[in-house]
Amino acid sequence: MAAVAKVTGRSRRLSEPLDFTHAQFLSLILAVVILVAFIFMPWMWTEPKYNGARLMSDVLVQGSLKNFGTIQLVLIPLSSLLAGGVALWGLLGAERGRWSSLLVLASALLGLFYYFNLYFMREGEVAEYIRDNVGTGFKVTLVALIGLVLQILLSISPLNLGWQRVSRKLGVLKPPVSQKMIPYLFLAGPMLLYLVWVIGPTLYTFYLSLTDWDGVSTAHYVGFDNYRTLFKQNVFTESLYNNVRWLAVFITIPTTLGLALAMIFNTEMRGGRWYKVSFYSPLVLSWPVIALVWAWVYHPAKGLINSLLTEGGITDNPPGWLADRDLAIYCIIAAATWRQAGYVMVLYLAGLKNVDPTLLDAGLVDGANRWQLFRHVIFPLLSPVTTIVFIISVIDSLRSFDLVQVMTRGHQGTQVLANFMYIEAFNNYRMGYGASIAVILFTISIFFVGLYLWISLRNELEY
Amino acid sequence: MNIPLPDFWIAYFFLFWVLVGLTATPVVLRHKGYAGWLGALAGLGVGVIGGAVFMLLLVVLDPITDSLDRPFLGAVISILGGAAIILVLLNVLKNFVPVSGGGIQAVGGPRTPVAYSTRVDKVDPTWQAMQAVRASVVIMLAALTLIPVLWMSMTAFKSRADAVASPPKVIFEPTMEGFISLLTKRRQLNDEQIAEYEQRDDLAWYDEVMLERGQAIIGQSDYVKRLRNSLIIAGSSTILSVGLGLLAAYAFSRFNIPGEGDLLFFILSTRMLPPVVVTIPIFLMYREINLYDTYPGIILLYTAFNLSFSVWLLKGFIDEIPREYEEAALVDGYTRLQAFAKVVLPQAVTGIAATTVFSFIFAWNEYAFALMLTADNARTAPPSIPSVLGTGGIEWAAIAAGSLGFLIPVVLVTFALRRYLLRGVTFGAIRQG
Repeated sequence: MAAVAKVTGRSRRLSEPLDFTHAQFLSLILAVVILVAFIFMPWMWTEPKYNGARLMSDVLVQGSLKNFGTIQLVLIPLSSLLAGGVALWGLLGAERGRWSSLLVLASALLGLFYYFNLYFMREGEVAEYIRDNVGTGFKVTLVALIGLVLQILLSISPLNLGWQRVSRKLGVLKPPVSQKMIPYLFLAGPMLLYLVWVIGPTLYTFYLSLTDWDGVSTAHYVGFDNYRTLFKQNVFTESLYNNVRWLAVFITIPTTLGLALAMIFNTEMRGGRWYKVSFYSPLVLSWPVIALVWAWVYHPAKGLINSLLTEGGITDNPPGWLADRDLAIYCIIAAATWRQAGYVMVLYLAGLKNVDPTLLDAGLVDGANRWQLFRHVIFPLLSPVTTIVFIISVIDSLRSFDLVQVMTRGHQGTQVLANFMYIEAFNNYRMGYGASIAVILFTISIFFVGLYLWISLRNELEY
Repeated sequence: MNIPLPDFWIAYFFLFWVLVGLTATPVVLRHKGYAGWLGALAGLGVGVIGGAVFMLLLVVLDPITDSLDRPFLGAVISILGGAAIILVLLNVLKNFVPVSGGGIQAVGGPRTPVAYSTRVDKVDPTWQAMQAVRASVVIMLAALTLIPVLWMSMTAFKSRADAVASPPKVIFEPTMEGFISLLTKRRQLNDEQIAEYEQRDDLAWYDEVMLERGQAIIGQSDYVKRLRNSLIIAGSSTILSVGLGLLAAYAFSRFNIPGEGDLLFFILSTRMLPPVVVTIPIFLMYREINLYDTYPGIILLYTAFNLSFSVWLLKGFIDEIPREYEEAALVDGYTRLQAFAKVVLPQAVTGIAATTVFSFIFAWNEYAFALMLTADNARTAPPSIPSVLGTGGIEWAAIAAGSLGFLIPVVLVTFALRRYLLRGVTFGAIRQG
C-alpha cells in the first residue's frame, strides 16, 4: 500500500482500471424499463390496452389495429432484450466491460432506428397520425433508449474515473444495508406480487360475499342474506352433493388402482419405464383436452363406447352417458379418474422405492405369504404416501371445474361448486352471491389443505 | 378398407397371447440354460399356438353360444382356453425340456417364490415367468388406457367424413384437413369458382386440400391468435415466476428467516386452493385498472400463482448445492449477488430447467383464469378449443387437431424431463422418480 501511495497522481489515474459495473447496471435497468413500457404502457393514445406489444402483434397477424402500427416496432423489444442480455453478460465477466458497453450502444441504436424511421423517413397519413397520437410508453422508451446510448460515455476514461470517484463519495453517504435485511430484499418482489394477487383477493372475497353487488351499481351490505338464500337453493345442494360424490370416488377408486399398478411396476421390468409413462402421461394433458377426448368417447351416437356397444352387437339401445341425468356426473368423474390413477401410481412408486428390501426379506424368513407381506409390511410403510394421496385427491376433487365446464356446463345434474360460482358470478352477474359460494368452497378446501400441512409438518415429508 | 369392431378385439387378444408367450417362455428356457434367441423363438411359437387356439375356439363356439342367446359366453370360454393352453405349454417346457449345459437351476435358489428379494438372480423361474405374464397383462391394459389419446391422434388426420364414420374407421387415408380447417378461415365456393380455382397454378398444398372440399382459404382463424397468445403468456409468466422464484428460493434456502417453514407451507397451500376462489375480486380489480383481457393482467396473475410452486421446487434444488461453495466465494471477496450469479446459478441449471418446464406446462394448460379473465385480446388456447365445438356443427377432425397440436409440446417436454416429473407434480414433496 505504501508503494501505491507514493505514485504520483497522474500516473495513478492511468493505472486505475475502468469500472463498467455502473454502466451495466444502468443498461440492465433501462432495458427492463423499455420492456415494461412496451408491454404495459400505451404506445398510442392513452389506454394501456393499446400498448406496444398489442400493436406489434396486431401488425404481425393483421389484427384490428394493423393500420396504426408499423412492422419496425419489432425493433423495440428486440433492442431491449439484446441490451439486457449484453449487460448481464458484461456483468458476469469484469474483463468484458468495454465490449458490453459498445454492444449495448449498438442495440440502443437499433431501437432508435424506429424513431428515426418514423420521424424522418416515413411519409403519409398513417405516419402523421402516429406522430400526433403517441402515448406514454412511446416517450418513456425514447428516453430510456437515449439513456442506453449515453452509457457509452462511461467508457471515456476521464469521465469513468471521475464517476468512480463521485460514486465512492456518494457510497459513503448511502445508508449501509444491514446484513439482516438482505434476505428480505430477495423476498420483497415475490411477496409483493403474492400479496396483491393472492392474499388480497381472497380476503376481498369474504367482504363481497356479504354484499349484493352485481358488478355495476353500488354494493349494499346485506349481512348473511346470500348464505341464507344459498342453503335454500336446490342447485347449491346438488353441487355440494356432487362434490362429495366426486370426493368419495376419488379417494377410493384411483387410489386402489394406482396402488395396484405401483405394486405391479415396482419389480424390475425391461422397458418398465415406458409402460409407466403410458399410465401417467394423462397427467400433463390439459383438462379441456381431456374433457374433449372423453366427450367424444361418450358421444351418444358416434362415440367410441356406443359404437363398440352397437357394432359388437351387445345392445341396440345404449345409454346416453353425458345426456343421461343419472349417469352424467359419474361419466365426468370417470374421466377424472383416468387421469388421477396415473398420478397416484407415480406417488406410490416413489414410496415403494424407499421401502427397505431387508424388511421384506425379514418378513419372508418369518414365513409371511405375499398378501401378509403387503398387508403388514409394505402398506404400513407406505402410510405417509397414502396420506399425501388422500389429501391430494380431496383437493383435486374440490378443484373440479374444467371438466364440468367443458363437458356439460353444469347441465344434466352435474353442477359442482366451482362451476356454480362461475355461472352465478360471470353469467348472471351476481358477484356478491358468487362470492358467498367461493367462500364456502374456500372454507372446505382450507380445512383439508390445513390438514395436509399439519400432517406434512409432523411427518417431514422429505423422501 | 375397414375393420369391424369384433375383429379389433380378436386382433387385440391374439396380440396379447403372442406377447405373453414372448415374455414368459424365454424366462423358463433361460433357466434351462438355452440361448436367448432360442427362447424368443419358442416364445413366439407358444404365443401363436395360444392365439390360434383362442381364435379356433371362438370360431367354433360363437355360432353355438349365439344360438343359446349368450353372445359373451363364447368369447369368455375362448379367452380362458387361450390362457389354459399357454399355461400348459409353459409347464411342458418347464418339466420336460432337458437341462442344457448346466443351466442356472444347478446354482440353486429358494424353492418358494421370493417376490421381493434383493437376490434377483436366484428367484424361482416359475415366479419370474408369472411376473412376465403379469407384465404382459399390464402392457395390454396400458394400451387400452391410451386408446382415447391414440384415437384422438388418428382423428386429427382424418377427413371430415371419416371422422364421423360409423363404425369408426381404423384404417383411413390420412389428410391434413383437420389442421387446415382449424387454422384457417374459409369461404364456400360454387362450381364456377371451383373450376376457376382449379385453373390457377399459384395454389399451395393446403389450398388444394381445401379445394377438394369446395372451399377457398381466406385468412387465418382466431385459433392462430389464441395459440400465439398462449405462447406469449405462458412464456412471459414462466420467465417471471422462475426469476422471482429463484430469488425467493435462494433467500429461503440460505438465510435464517423467522417462521420460514410456516411461510413456505402457507405459500404452497394457496397453490392448492381452487382458483375460482380469487377470481371475482381479481376480475373487479382488473376492470378498475384496465387490466381485464390484457397480456400484463393475465401474465401477472399466472406469475403470482406459479410463484409458490417455483419457489418451493427451486428451494429443494438449491438446498442440494453445498453452502461451502458460496462461502468460499464470499471469502474470496465476492458480493452476495456475485456469489449467487456465479456459484449458485450454474449449479442449479438443471433445477431451473425443470422448474421452467413445469411452470410453462401449468401456464400453458391453465383454463379457469383464462376463461374468466380474458375475452378476446389476450385469450389463450385452452378455453377456445372447446368453443370450436359450438361453431358451424361439430368438426371432430378440427377439434382433435387442435387438441393434438396443443398437447404435443407438453408431451415432448414430459418425455425429456421424466426424471423430474414426480418432483414437479408433487410440488417437490417427493424427490425421486
